[in-house]
Amino acid sequence: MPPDLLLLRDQQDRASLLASLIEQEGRVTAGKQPSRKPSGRAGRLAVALLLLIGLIVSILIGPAAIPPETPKSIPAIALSDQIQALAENDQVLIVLDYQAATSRELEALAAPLLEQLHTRGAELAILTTQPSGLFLAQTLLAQAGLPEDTQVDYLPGSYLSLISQAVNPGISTTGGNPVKDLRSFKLVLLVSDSSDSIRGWLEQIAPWIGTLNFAAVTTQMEAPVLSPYFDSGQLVGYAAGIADGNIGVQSTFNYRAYRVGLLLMLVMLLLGMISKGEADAIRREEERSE
Amino acid sequence: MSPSELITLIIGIALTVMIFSYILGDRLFFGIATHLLIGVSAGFLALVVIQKIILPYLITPLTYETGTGFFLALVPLTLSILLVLMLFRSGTQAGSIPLAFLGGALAALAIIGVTRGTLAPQILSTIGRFAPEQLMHETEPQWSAILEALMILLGVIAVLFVFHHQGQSKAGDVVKPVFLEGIGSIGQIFIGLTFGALFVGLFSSALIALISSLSEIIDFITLWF
Repeated sequence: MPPDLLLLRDQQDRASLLASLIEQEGRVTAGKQPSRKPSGRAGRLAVALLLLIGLIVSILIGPAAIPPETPKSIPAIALSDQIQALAENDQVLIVLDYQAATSRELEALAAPLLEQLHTRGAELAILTTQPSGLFLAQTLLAQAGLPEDTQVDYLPGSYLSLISQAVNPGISTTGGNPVKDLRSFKLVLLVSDSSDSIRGWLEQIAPWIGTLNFAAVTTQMEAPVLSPYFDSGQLVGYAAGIADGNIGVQSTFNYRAYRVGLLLMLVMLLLGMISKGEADAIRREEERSE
Repeated sequence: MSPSELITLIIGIALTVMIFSYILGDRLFFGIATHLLIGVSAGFLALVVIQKIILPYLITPLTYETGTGFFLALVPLTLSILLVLMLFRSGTQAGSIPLAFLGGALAALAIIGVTRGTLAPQILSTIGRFAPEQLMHETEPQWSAILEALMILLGVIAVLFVFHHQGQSKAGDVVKPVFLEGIGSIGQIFIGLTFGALFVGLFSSALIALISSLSEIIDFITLWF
């Protein structure tokens, strides 16, 4: 019976299916091919090459400093005000707590501040909590224009080795502890790539010494974590990100390349979201049809 | 440029290129570069630890003939020896004493620190945003300050409810009341925004490091042309 003569649609479908099965009887049919998932390696390579080419071209065009009118963040302005308020011979403790990977970003932020402190006649005591900081500090000191013989001491255990002194000033420091009297400092400037470390100083040392002001220089990644501590007044200011390091004469960092990199990643993220959405829609459609 | 600076720069560029080879799926050169980094760091760390910690904090006080310094130095010496004993099977139990001491002391410090240094100041800061002097200017309400204070309060409460897992158990599944689910969903939006901000910062930091390295390589290449 021809399928067209049947009354119901599902009867027509079944009849058509039966007719096609009979027609294919005896023919060799290919088995279902296992679906191969793309490894994504080619995509990663394309993204990396696109980013590298974009950055290299931007750098080759020529130097591009940050525009002087680029506004600083409120915490960075507060930090600048704190430094301006320091008098000559005020003691400032600088704690360097970063690794080589983030040194470029932090040095660009910290060097102008150290230079400012030195110009104002503040007495600087520089500590590093990481062994690699002993040689990383040399680059920072050179950028800030500080004397080559500036002493940089290693503080093993970071803030943990200062807790006894913070809790009880009567306790004498043992061994080679470079900090003799924590209370003599007006400001502690934490140059760190870890918000956990900065939080450690604020949790373990700051509550015991109410007169001590804490400020920070950190990476843009850690800045959102520090924001509540600035709002609560535990940090008197902090600098993070390219704009906060803007001193108008910075020429070493290529700001154009930075903007191109951000733009490229934004485009790639949008494309990635669209393609992921499309792939998910196709997968759902396939699951529904099965 | 002095010869030593030139050699350092060439080594630096070679290592940077070796790290970049990971993009092409290379394991050999990437492995050599990372192993070199770890080896050099470990060697340098050992030197610093001996020079800056073991000698001034442990060995030098032991040379004092009198005073409390000598006896105080015996405490870390004993704990260190107990830790070294952990290298041997028979000394595992003894090694747990300094570890327990360390764990207990750090836990106590963490609890006190979080309470005094984060929890109390942050709660007070959130409450302080609702102080009349913050919300009113003379007799006029400051709507932006009011909205900001409310948003912060909503964020704090909503995020706390994301981690609230208490609910009624129905056929093995824990079912939370609808209003808790709703507040929790708002909290997830706040957490998502935070993670978004952290991701942007992470990418920005990585981009700055990449641009600095590329600039150095390009400067080095253009030096020869």
